[in-house]
Amino acid sequence: MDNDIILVIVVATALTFDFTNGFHDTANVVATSISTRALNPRLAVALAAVLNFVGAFLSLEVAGTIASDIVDQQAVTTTIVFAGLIGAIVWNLVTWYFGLPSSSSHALIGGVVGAMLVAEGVGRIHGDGIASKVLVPALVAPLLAFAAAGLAIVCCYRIVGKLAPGPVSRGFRLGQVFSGGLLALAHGTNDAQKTMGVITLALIASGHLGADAGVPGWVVVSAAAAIALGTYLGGWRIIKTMGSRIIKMDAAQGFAAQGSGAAVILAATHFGYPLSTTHTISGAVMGAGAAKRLSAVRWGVAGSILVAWVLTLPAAAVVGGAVYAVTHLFGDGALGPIVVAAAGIAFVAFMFIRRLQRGAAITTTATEQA
Amino acid sequence: MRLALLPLARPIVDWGQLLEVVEAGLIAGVGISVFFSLVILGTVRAGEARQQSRPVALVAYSALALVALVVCITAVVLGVHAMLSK
Repeated sequence: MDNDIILVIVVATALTFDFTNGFHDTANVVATSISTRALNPRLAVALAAVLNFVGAFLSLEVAGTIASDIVDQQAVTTTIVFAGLIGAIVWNLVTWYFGLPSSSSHALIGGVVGAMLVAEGVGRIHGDGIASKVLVPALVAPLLAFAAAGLAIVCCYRIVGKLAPGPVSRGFRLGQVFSGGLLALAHGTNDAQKTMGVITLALIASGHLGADAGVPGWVVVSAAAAIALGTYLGGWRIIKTMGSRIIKMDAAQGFAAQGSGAAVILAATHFGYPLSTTHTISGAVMGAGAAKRLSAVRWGVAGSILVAWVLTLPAAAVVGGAVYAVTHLFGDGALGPIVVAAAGIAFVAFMFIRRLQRGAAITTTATEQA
Repeated sequence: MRLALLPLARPIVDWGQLLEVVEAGLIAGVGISVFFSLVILGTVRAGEARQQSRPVALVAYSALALVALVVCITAVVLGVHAMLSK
């Protein structure tokens, strides 16, 4: 009975994480379309929400990686998954509060690893899986997106450089409707799967699924719906950082950044790498800016994003480990997760109220001025 | 020191797979921008040729825009299909 209660709390927490992932990460996807005025903010966010929902159904490779390559499946308990999720949600909210586009994927992986570390020790963590599937791609993806977007924008300018700027800008804005859509689709295929992987892990840990079972259909549908809803309700604060504070873009740069970002995410998804869309699109945006003019990129803002990246895995691991330790104080039953979940809800409410008290993080006008 | 670590790193990280991601990301990322730029070039130049009554240039630039557009659409459809089917 206790096991089932914990499982329900874990599934609800996982879907909450998925919602915050959409809320936090997907804004990155639409930021370039909004800042170049290719789409108005409401339409961009609605389009991204729909395409994230569709994208979640396209692949399950990343879900498989999360469920089996990060920690030892045999040692996982529902409480460990729960603690990892809380660690990821807390880190997501903190970085959202300060407007830093850190990686939800790495927050989730860090949270689960931290909880496992406290619960079972180092021996149950798949260091090789984390290195090969998380850390190395985390370094490669933004650099690859940077290079691809940089090369792409140089080629674009060579081809259309002698044309009148008006039609060129209109053409690339139209193109951004599709490149932004492709990026949202890519985001859905990679990010929604992380939640699917975690819920599958919890179902295996609680004995509701066999060790080599696939992802159940209801898990796919609910994860897709949660990330789409989070996307629709939007993360305006992050949009501001991505779309205007790193670099002021023209439509060609926006198209090159989105096209390159989508290509890198889809290529990584094919091999089951749980990539950060945030890392990838940030790298692409910087590449598109730096190729035109190095000083166009606001390197100070880029540096603070880099700090958030570096901190994400260890910080989420610390929170995940601490949450596991607190939960464990209440014994192995459902009381611990219930108490911590209640505290988590209070924390979320506190962060939202503080955010609202400080005023809207971004307005439509401010975005358009970018 | 770096050389000493390489034999350890090789079996953990599948560099071949990672290289495929790099190749696919670069080719698709740059390719889509190049061909979409050609769509814009062809469309704008075709419009100018029509205004200036240059039928050969109009046909040539229209064909360029059309072919580049077909390449863009095909690349996206094939790319998504290939990358997501395994």
